[in-house]
This record gives sequence, structure tokens and C-alpha cells, in this order.
Amino acid sequence: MLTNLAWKRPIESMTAVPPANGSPDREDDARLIERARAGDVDAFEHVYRREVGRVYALCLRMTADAARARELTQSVFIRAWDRLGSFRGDSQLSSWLHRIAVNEVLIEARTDRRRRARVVLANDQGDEESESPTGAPKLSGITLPEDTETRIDLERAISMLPPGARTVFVLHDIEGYRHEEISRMTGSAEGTLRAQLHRARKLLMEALSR
Amino acid sequence: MNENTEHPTFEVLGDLLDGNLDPTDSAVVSEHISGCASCAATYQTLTGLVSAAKGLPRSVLPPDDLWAELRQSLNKRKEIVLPSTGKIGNSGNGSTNSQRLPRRMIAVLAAAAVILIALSSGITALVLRRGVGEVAVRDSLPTTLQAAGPRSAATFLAGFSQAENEFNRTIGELKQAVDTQRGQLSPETIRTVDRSLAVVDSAIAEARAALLADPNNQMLIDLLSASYQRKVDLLRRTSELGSRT
Repeated sequence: MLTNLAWKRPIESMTAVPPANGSPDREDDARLIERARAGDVDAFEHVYRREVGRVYALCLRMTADAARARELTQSVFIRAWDRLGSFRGDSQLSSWLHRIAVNEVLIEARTDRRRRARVVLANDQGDEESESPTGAPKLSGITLPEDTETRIDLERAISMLPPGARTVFVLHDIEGYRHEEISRMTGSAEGTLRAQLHRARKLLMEALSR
Repeated sequence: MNENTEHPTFEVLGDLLDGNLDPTDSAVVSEHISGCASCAATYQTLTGLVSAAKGLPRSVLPPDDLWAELRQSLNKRKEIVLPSTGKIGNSGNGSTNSQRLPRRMIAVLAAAAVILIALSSGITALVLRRGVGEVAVRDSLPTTLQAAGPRSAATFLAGFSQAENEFNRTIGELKQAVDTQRGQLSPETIRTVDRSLAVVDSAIAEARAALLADPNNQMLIDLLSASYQRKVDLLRRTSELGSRT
């Protein structure tokens, strides 16, 4: 049985936007950064407008809390502003910001573990009778097309995952980080991360098959 | 048909999907799936789930525009930095009111903290990544020449302790300012600040220990740097709060 959250509304009101990289009038990263380093807030606004969607999406999925995601998104851009001097241009600006965002979320999670416990699954084991021989939930032919309704179901199911499993699932299956990279970010052993990922997937399959 | 053979676990199916099985195991499991409808269905759904996750929008706009608030915060940070360039002594009407001195001192400390935040991530990341002595020279080199190989623990520790001393000095000064204002803060605020500091200290200790064990780990460097920054930030905000009350 899944517990419900105050997550429903934010998920439904989420507005997906196309990747910012497609912007035709995109200013060169180096020029923007140079101007921002000199204290030009307008230049930084370009960076913000281009990247806020990706940063917010990550924060929202990792925290499953719209208010925290909002705060974290602001923190990420403040950190980025503070750290402009450390951006060396050898990685993409978006990747650099993304790393800062992952760090912010992980640090915040560490410094306030109590809040991490707000989303729990009442029964992680599921109904044994409904399991297949693999130990996975028996599936009544669930399909995951790319329609909005299913996307919302999936987003909601992700938000209901236990925090550890959710972090690994978001970083690995959505953001595409490798276990090795996630291990470096979180300080968890790769074996632990794999187990968390399997658990997350199993729980998601259960949730989506209901 | 493989109905009589042992079914692979869900974890094994996941490992197959992620390419984490060795070729032999991968072939065995794949063969099983090709003859077992139940496992094939699970594997197909698992594949669909992972594919759907990858297909989720990478970009999601927040419900409201955060820029106005963010801009305000950034401008505020810029304003706080300005006094350190000499304006703090010339601000206002030149009043020498002694009651204002502590606040000025706090402003200077706050400014120092902000400058530290602004500079530290760059400088500290560099210092922590390489020895302090190397920074000035290497910064003028093209990036390709700066790609250093794994550093020794001794080189790392030299740069590390200098950067850390710098942080600790600023933190000490801010702490002193906060301590002098404790009487002006509510007990609840003090408790919250102390609790937060303890948590940040624990995060610093954790990241520090991990970094000493793995000096080339960039993520840990960033983590430690961010934790120190968080502490400076917390103290700075507390001192600002104290100066306002």
C-alpha cells in the first residue's frame, strides 16, 4: 500500500519544457560566464533561464517536495554564482550546474535527515501472492507509453519511493549517471546502490501495476 | 522451453538490462528469457520502465518564476561584498557612534564571509585539488597543461590544511561575532543554530575523512568545500540576524 503525499498537485502542474540547448539565440557560455563573473546579474539571468528547468526537475525528483525543490533550485543558482570562478570551461555549463545541483540536494539531505523520512512506503515487500517467479510483481501487462497520464503516474510513483532508492533511481535511470559516479557523489558502495536501484524498480513496477 | 530451469531473480534481470552480467551469465539468462513467458514479461516491463524513465522530461519549470527573488539575493550578496573594497569606512555620515561599531565589525565579517564564499569554491577547489604553491603558476596555463595526474597524499595535505585554515579562521571570527550576540537571539534560534552547526560539522568531518582517504575525488572536494561554505553562510546569516535585533 502506498502512502499518499502532498505531491499530487505539483506533479500535475509540472510544465515540461524543451531542452534549453535548442535556443537559437543562446549566448556563448564563456561570454556569459565572463560577464557574470564581473558581477553582471543580467548575464547570469540568461544562464538561469536556460538551466532552471533542468535544475528544478532534478531537485523536484530527488526531494519529492515542490517547496524544497524550489528552495534548493535557488540555492543551486546562488552557489553557482558564488562559484563562477571555479567554472573552467572544460565541461559544459549545464553539466557543471547539474553537478552543483546534485551536490546541493545530497548535502541538504545529509544535513536534515529527518525530512528525508517523510516519504515512506508502508509495505515495501508487496503481496507475495502476486509475485512472479523472479520476485517481481506480477504484471497485468502494464505498458509505459509516453502519454502525459502515464508520465504523471510514473513521476508520482517515483516521488513515493523511499529516499535512498529514489535518489539512485533518479540519478541512474533518469539522469544517466553510472553507479561508479553515484558512489562518488553519495559515498555509498556500488553494491548498495545496485541493490537500491533494483528495489526502486521493483517498487515502481508494483506501484504502476495497481 | 526453460520452464523447468531456475528462474533468474529480478535483480539478475536488472543486471542483464544494465549490462552488469558477464557474457556467460548474460547468455544463460537471455536464453532463459527467450523460453520463459513469465520472465520475458517481467524483463519486458522492466525494460519499458527504464525506457520510460529515460524519456521523462529533463527539464521542468518551477510553478513560479524564481528569478525575481534570486536576483534580489544576488544583488544583496554584491552589496555585502562592496564594503570590503573600502566603502564601509566611508558609508553614511561619518558617524563615530560607538554603538554602531559592533555592527560594522559584523558587516565586515559578513563581507569577508561572502568574499570567501565567492572566492573559496574556485580557490579552494583549486587549492584542495593541487598544492597551494602551484595555483598561481598553473592558473595562467592553458587547461590542457593543467590536467595534473594523481597527486600524492603529502601534496594534497599541504594544500588542504592551508585552505582549511583559511576557512577556519573566518569561521572563528564569525563565531566570535555570533557568540557576542547570543544574548540578543531567542533561545529557540540559538538552539536551532547550534543544532544546524553540529550537523554541518558532522558533514564536514565525514567529507574530510573521506577526502583524506581519497584525495583525488573531485566530488568529495566539492562536497567538503560546499559544507564549509554552508557553515560560513549559516554563521553569516546568524550574525546578520543578531545585528538586526
